[in-house]
Amino acid sequence: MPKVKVDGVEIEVENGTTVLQACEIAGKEIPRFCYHERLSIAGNCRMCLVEMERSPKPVASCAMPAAEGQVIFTNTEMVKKAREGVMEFLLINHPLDCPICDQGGECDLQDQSVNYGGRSSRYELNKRSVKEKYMGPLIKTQMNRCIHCTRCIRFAEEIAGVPDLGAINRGENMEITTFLEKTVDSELSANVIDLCPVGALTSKPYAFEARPWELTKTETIDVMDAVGSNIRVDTKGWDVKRILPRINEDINEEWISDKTRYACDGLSSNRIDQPYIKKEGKLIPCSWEEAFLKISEEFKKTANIGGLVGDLVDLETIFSLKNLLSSVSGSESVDFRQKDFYIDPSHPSNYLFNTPIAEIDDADLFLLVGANPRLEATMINSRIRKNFVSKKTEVFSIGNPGDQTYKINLLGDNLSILKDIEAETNSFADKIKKSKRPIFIIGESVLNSKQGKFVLETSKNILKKYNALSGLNTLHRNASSVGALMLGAYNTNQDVLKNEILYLIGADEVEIDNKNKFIIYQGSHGSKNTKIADVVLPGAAYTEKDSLYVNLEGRVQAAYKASFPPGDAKEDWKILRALSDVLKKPLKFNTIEQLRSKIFESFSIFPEINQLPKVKTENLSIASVDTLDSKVQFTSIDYYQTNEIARSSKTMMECKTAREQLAKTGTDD
Amino acid sequence: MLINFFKSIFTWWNTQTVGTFLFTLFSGKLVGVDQFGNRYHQNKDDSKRWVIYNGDVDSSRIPPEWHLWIHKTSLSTPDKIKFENHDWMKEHHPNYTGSKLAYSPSKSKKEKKDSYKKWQPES
Amino acid sequence: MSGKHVAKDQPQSFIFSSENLKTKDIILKKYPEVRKKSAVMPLLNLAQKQNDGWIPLAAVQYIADLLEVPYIKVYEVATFYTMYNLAPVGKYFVQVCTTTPCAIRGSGKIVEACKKYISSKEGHLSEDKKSSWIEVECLGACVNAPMIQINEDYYEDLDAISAEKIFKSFKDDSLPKLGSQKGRKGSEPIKQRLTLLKN
Repeated sequence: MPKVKVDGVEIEVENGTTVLQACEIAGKEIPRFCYHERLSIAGNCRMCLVEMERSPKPVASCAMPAAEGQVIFTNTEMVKKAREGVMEFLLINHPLDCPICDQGGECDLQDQSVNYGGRSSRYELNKRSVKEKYMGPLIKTQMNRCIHCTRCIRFAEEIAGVPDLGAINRGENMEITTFLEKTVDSELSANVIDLCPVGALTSKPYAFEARPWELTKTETIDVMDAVGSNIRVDTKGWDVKRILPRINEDINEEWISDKTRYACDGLSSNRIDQPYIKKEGKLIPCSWEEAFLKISEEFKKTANIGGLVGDLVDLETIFSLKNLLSSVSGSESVDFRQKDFYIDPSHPSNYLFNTPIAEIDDADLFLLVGANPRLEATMINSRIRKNFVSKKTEVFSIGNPGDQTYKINLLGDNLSILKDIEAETNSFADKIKKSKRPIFIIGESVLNSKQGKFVLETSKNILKKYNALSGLNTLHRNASSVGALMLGAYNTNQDVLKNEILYLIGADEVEIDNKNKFIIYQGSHGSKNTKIADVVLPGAAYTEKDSLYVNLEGRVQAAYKASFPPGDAKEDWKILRALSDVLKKPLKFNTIEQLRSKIFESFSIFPEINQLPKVKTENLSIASVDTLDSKVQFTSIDYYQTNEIARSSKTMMECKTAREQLAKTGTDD
Repeated sequence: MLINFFKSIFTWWNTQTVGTFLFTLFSGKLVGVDQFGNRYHQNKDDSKRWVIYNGDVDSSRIPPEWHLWIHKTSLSTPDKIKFENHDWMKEHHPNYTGSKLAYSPSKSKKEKKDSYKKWQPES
Repeated sequence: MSGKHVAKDQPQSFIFSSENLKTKDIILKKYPEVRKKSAVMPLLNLAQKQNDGWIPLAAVQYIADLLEVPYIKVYEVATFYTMYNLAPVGKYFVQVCTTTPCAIRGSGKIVEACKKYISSKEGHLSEDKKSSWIEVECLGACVNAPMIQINEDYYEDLDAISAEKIFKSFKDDSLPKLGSQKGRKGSEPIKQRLTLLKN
């Protein structure tokens, strides 16, 4: 543990710390462009120069390891001059177009030139100009502004695992580009926009939309997948202008997927903003009262009522719907499964991602069973890749999920391999024997009524044998699944779709035969199921309500209202509460606080907000099952079109087209 | 008439106040009236020049010729000066700001009523 | 000089000749299997030799596939080094040294001659497609500045007249003798005193 003196203050730092980090620990701010905590060290911007005793020249602190007895100065005349000099060089070829630059107001170069720059430039020749590069539908380039920090190159190579970006030519002529200007083929590509310290890479859909100081920032939760990435929603008036990641070391570190970031323009199209009622086969706009009266009439006719919740539905809504339907019809027929889906809710560990996401970094063996984490849970995949890159951990898979940005060893695609592993006749058994923290990830593709039980129980048997049951993980795709399971919103006895009255909340994926059925659709976006509904109620999207979501680990997270539901639309639980009054069976809560405390009272499994549930895998019951000779069939995932918000989004459509184009030209490898 | 009388007592933004009226009556000398009916006065030794507006008190209602006189840029009243009439000159108009004719950039004119697109059952 | 000139007309595909495939294997043997991407520079050189002195983009992709690295990584290398040409070069490929010693001794006139007799644009083929020229940094023959390199040969002690003579000789392939154009041997002194011993 070397002791370093920074500006006269002696501090002790851990081995492997750089001088820059040591200065940070000592509370000194060091300006930097190329250095980033999560990327490798490049040391090419030279902005982090500091003075070191017995060194004749200033040293680049980001690349200099802290060593015993170093005496660092960060506030001397030499450091000030060095910074001014570096800044003058950086600005030589940087255009003075801040007024028309989208980075303006949140630009590292702008801020640091104010803080550390000199007075003016002495450069009188022409600035260089660089052609714009095409990097796909998300990244807008203005390469004149590039200061060659190479953060984007390092991100693409190290984190995203798609080494598409590179620097061509040399010296003054250096340019950042993709090979022959193809689209960056990654689900994480847009993170380079946040990484870029200047306005060279900016957001294409957000171009010239707003200035950072005009935006209202709301810190909330993403629902595009089950990971529950932490996001910041930026709104200007009603419009959600953009979505940025929020640092949460336990979940998404500081990245988010492109879908999370750019599906937000779907929030302003295809919106249901008033109730509709079907008259003579046509949906006619109506008032809330009319719609509620119609529903209560229908509810009087039969007690055969089923509820189906969609992929983006929050805890409060599921709970309210469940309570409403059970008080009206006494039935427990609320379900969240829109497809053939095997669940075993006897113990929470059967459906949770039992390894905390942050602990994926500690794993030393991975087995994917019918899982495609790259498309199903991009942030989980980036964790696996991080582990793969740093520790060379082997990743095995049953069923070929395609390119996952790291090397995958295929064990085959027959699920009977699992039985072989259990019987130790497969070579993988040796690997797991040696492994201390193996992780099994079971995808939804194999969690169907035919294969689900076999996969789950055999996996448990294998892990139990090696005392690693905490490595049992189910990879859910949708934000509502785990919450619904925890709330008991499933019906194992009967298919909800058989009921005479169907109450759909944002259930857009399921195919419904609407013959002789009365269908109520409540949701924020119009879909194929909205069209066949008899009553349509306008709900709120995830940025328009205060709500709770449970991610795949079972972590409860609170989403906050960034804007308000459009038109006559209301928050979903309020609609159900109001409907319960009309039905004369009022629900026993009036405010969101009462509702939440009701949820936490009734279900002790829920942890406090932002905590993981206290679930022990030890007492997990395990059944033995006969071997199953069945192949992994991946259900197709159209990554950019997985829910109605994404399908309403223009940007997501562009991404899809760009991806298809890429596949067609064959440059995708 | 009565209303105008009360207005002149209680408001300052209509034509003239009582004080101005009395001051003009005793020490003012009318020097001219412009095309909008604004009446221009000066006191005896020409140390003060003022205008009594025909309507709203708004200094941008003074046409440029009278602007010269009232700011003492020219000594004599406009009717004694020969102005060149160029073909690019327009009729004077008070400042549009705050009126219906006020300029607004095209973007804010097309006031976006619905910032979102509605779902249409028939689509 | 801005970034490297990349040819617009590119061949559809590139593949090593059977002879070069053997050479490729020899080159690859010099590097451990896990570090085979280190062979990128000799392989690019091989491709350039095979393809009349320039590397088409198809060859960049071909080499990247051979070495199992992303295309951009090979492309980075090919654009970084000045000795890889990414656009067709003439049968006579003239490299004019314009670094300080040559510049002092009048390489500007040589560049003008190039523009006049070869092609007005650097890195572009002449009208008869027989020659092309580029400016380069020091070629290490400063004692005989100014100088040019034509393919693998040095022509030294040039001036506007001798340069013109050389460039005009491309037409009928009658290049003058290489080395100094002033007739001196190697880099011996031009005037009488050739060694320290003589006076």
